Amino acid sequence: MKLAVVVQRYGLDVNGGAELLARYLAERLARYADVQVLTTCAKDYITWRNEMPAGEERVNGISVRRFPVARPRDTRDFGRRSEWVFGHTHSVTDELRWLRSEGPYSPALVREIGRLKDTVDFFIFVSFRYFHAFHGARAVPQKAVLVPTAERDPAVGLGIFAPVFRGARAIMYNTPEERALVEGATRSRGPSAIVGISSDIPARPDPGRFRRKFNVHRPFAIYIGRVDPNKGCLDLFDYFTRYAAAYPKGLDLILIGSSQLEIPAHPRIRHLGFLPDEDKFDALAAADVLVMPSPYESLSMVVLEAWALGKPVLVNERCDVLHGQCRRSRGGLFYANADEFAQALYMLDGTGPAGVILGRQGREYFNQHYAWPVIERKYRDMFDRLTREPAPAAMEPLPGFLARRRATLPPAQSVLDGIPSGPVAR
Amino acid sequence: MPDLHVRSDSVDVEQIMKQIRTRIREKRGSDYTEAELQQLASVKLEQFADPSGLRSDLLEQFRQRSNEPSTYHRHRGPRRWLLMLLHPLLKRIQKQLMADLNLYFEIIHNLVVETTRLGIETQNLKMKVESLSSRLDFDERRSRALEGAVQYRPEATPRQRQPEPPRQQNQPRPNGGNPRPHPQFIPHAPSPAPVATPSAAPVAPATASPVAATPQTGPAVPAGLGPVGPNGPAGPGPVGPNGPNGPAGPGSNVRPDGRRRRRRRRRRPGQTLAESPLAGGNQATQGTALTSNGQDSDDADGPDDDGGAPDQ
Repeated sequence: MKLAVVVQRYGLDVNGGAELLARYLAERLARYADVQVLTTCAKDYITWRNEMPAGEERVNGISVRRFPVARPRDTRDFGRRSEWVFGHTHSVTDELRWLRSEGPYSPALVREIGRLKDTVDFFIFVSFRYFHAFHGARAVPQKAVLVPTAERDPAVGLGIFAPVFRGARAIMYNTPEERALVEGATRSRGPSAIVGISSDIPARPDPGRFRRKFNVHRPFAIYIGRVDPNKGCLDLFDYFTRYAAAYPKGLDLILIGSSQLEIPAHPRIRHLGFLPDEDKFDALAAADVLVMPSPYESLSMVVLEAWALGKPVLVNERCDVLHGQCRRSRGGLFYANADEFAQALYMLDGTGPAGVILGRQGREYFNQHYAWPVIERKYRDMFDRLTREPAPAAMEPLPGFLARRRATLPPAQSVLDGIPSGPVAR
Repeated sequence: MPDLHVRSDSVDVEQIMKQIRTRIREKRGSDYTEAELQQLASVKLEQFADPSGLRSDLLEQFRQRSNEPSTYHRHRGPRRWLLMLLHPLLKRIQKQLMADLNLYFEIIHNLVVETTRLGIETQNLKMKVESLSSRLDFDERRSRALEGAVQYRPEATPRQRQPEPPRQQNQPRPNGGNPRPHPQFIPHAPSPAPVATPSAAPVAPATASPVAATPQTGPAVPAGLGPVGPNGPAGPGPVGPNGPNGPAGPGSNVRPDGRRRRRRRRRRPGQTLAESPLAGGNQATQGTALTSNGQDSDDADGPDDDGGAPDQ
């Protein structure tokens, strides 16, 4: 079987959840199929500047073909268009212009997808909201397998994506919440599965090594990811400061990841920057609890990694996915305000009664749903099923020249607001 | 500290969150929602803030001002014509001004909401301070009363540290066989003669409440120190049915021979001195605690009807 993973950025030094998912997926599926990766030369997800050379290279044994981005993103233009399509009644043309403005605008990549139509069995498109996924899936609808990585953001409510979801051959969701969101927005009823992704967990992480290397002596909670306001880090700092005042002998907070904002100068908050995987896993093993304050996540691999290491998590209740994952796994607590944050963190520290049990329950959940053998089996089952079943009719075409320009589409935000929210129990 | 219960091998996350939220609610009282805060902010600012420096109708005035219609139509003739001519330019300026005004409006609105929030918090804190100061006063009074009630015997400590002469194997220990050291204090008021006997060291066992070991015939304890029984203010020791000065009742510690029997009952973990049955406060536990076979639980020393004098 020949597979092509299509993703906006790819590389060992590219961070980002969807990109990591694409890389792990390509490397794992390469055990069963001939896998190639089609991507752009961009490295920065804000500008899509061409930073890597176009052409073919091998990354961890996988053939990666990069195509240049024809025009980097104009962030002001993108912001203006986003405001328009999310907040006003608009037309299909407005949305198509928004999509082009969002990028990564790489017509060469889309052309290549069309060219490989007959030689590749299935194209796995990672992240539904980008230019390459929309136009690529439309180019090869009968071989398009979407991994949407959809979050509860207004882009889900844009009208142009509904036909893509309805016309794709299969959709591989990360969580039940994601499926509820996408099906609520697009009424897609095709083959789908809740799969997610796993992670390469080291067999024996060494917490002592981390403590020695970074001179960490006190028990601590850990945050791993971009230190960014969009990830809820401002609230995290605020809540943790209050927790630290209430519990002077409680946990410290260690942050791992590149920072987009100023870290508060607090004696119990420490930022270690971006760390290699070995250090990251050692740190996670040394931590008492992982904190994930992000209100928008489609899966959060680091939460899965914490569970794989038997660590409890504390997540933002406003994120349906994380909230639902915690309830289903019984592997962590959630908070809605500073008081709950402090009390829950107190509950979860290493000396507390619940942390160890929650961590163990999280590990059981990880092994049951997100271990690599489970993920691989789900993908292989889906490919077998798609190979057996006949392909459905072609994807709905875009409206005609005039219909495309009629402002009939509701604001994406109002569409999103109409979709039921909340965690899925089972 | 959260008083949460995790007893089993598996933990129900929702149950824990419920407990956490209940505890927060109990701790903080009923919280105001954002909508309630907004309502409070718009209704009566004076209730929460100092009225002399703030205007509660500020928001309303500001809102009215920003909704005032354009003043162009009031003018006539060439002035109106000039204004109409400059209308595009003026409109732009006005738009800019309105944007600024809207911004100010929002800022003022947020400030009013925050002031309300702070006002409520200040009131809560004031109440908390009042409560704490009254508790502090009470504690101070109590500690003063306790200090007046007991005195330390400095001479007891060196004497106890002197090497004891070797005893016969059958010779009873001076403290009645209890190998643990005694707390070295006795009631402040004139003690009965047996207490004053230096060689006897007639004090309560270490595990018993020192106050409970006070002889029945001892002096009155300052009012308010001991718990009040049905027959009036009780001293630290058990009281007979006729009050502190009456004869010992069936539940008292006075033996017929006039000696006071030692109480061996220990305080249970978590039980305070005041709650201790030995403190004499709980009538139900004063010397009437029976075992399952109907005997006194202190049957190791015989029936619990002995006098208040300590063992010799």
